[in-house]
Amino acid sequence: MSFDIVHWLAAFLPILALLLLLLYFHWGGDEAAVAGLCVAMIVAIGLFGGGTDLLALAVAKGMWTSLSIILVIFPALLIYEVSREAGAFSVIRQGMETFTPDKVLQVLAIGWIFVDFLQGITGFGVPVVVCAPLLISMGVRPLTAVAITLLGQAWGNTFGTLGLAWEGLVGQSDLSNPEVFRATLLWTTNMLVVVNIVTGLAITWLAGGRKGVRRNAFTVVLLAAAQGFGQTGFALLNPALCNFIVATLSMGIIFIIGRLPYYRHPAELNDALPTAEKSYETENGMSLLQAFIPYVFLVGAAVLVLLNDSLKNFLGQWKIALAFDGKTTALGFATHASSAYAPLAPLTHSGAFLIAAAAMGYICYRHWKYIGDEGFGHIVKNSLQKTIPSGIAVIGLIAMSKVMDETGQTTILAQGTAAAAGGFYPFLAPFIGLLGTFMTASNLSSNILFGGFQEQVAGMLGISKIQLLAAQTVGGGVGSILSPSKILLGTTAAGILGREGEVMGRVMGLALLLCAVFGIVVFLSYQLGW
Amino acid sequence: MKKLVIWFPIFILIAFPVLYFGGHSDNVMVSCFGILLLLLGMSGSICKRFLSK
Repeated sequence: MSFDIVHWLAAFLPILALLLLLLYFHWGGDEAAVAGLCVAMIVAIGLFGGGTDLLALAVAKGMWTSLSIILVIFPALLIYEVSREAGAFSVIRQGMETFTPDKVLQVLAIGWIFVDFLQGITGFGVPVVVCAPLLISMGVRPLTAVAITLLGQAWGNTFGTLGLAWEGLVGQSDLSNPEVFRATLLWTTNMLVVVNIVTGLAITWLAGGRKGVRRNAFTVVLLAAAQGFGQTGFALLNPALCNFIVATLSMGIIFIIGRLPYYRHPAELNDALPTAEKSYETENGMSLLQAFIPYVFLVGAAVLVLLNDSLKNFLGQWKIALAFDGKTTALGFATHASSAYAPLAPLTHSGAFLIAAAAMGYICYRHWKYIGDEGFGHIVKNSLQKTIPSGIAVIGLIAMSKVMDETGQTTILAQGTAAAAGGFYPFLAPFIGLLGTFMTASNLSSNILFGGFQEQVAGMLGISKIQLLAAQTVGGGVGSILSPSKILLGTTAAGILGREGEVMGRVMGLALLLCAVFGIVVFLSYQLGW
Repeated sequence: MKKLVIWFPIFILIAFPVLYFGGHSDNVMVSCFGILLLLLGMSGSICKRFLSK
């Protein structure tokens, strides 16, 4: 499939439409996603030779893929509604006071450390959807809470979810040479140290403003560097577990930090919710452990199943998948047939842990009489009401990305960018990774989509693939901050559905700046022969 | 009309098998019908936006 400027501009139209509607016209994610899908289909039929049968299958693939995200949204909302109905959030907020009276450190503990812990083990948007309501219960404004969780999960994207995205990159590129593998790993983990420091400081800024940064900068930089370089060290031994090990250790370290005399003095949030708006003030006699019971069960179940290979393989043997035919566009862009497309293992899926945690929480709270007879109805009704609009948006966004992918629009975008940039391409390499995650909401998918492409470009330009592959997955991790599907998870959980554009506007500058810095570093590394 | 819009998402569930079998059978009519069903199912929020103007 050849490249020309008309096709490149046309392929960019769906993304442009999505961004304009979200950021400029402030449409909700569900509305913008439908419009983006329509534009992608019109471009596919008009300029990329996509037939309606091909589009139908691409959209069906998108719907199937989005099911695994919707299976996270609904049970995560169930957990939230169970906790809300039982009045657990006020207990959590009061309990955090005993951990430390410094509210900025409380936010860092949940929005940075606990978010990364969940990213390390489950991923798939779980950290965002679980932690945003917790932050709101601690007095953080909903929009800020969503931004904080998005920033907090970014650095753990590549090696989180037990190293799934890294495995995706390794699977798509030839890293069989141990020296090349090691060098790519080091480039990746070292860039992630920078991501962790910058996002840690950004979270501190969002929580505590300038005063908060002044008070906590040393702690954050030290902890972020220890986490980052710790991940580098563990990654050389075991890439699948490195992020999880570091995140678990960090949970203990932040607890110790909270006990230091420096953090025993009260410090307020920069822009907290007014007291009247804080939810669930009532005293109900619940202990902190009881308040955290769904989350304790969530972490326990996920760790027990995902770290135990025999149990994981036993529960993972049941899979549901659909077969899809291969199709070819009129311009000759072909998609392969798949006998088992995107298999879904319902018993090891993140949604299974979430639904088990919600059920366990409900049973416990009902037994302890924190939830009344009518509670079940409220919980299910509220969860369903919130799931439907965000589910529609996720289907629209993933279907749009599938239509673009299956008709060659995404490939043209990447090829065109590489061809136009020429020797300057290394600067743009992180942005290609970002584009992949922006479209698919997954660093893994981004690496599968563009990992091989980055390697091809390196060969075409006659440069080493090491830095380009590292830039791909790090850019993908940073892109998860901007991914509309992930933002939707946050706005749904935070109860601010429709304000996705505002969230994106708040975090976009930082994400693009990080990619630009990495682009410059990668470009210089080739120029200076690092 | 606004009450009717609430039920639109049901069309998304119906659209999936239509799209899947329409796409596999290379049937233009069924594929188009599936896409239209899906767009109708997803258009609830946009309809509400224009109805409220």
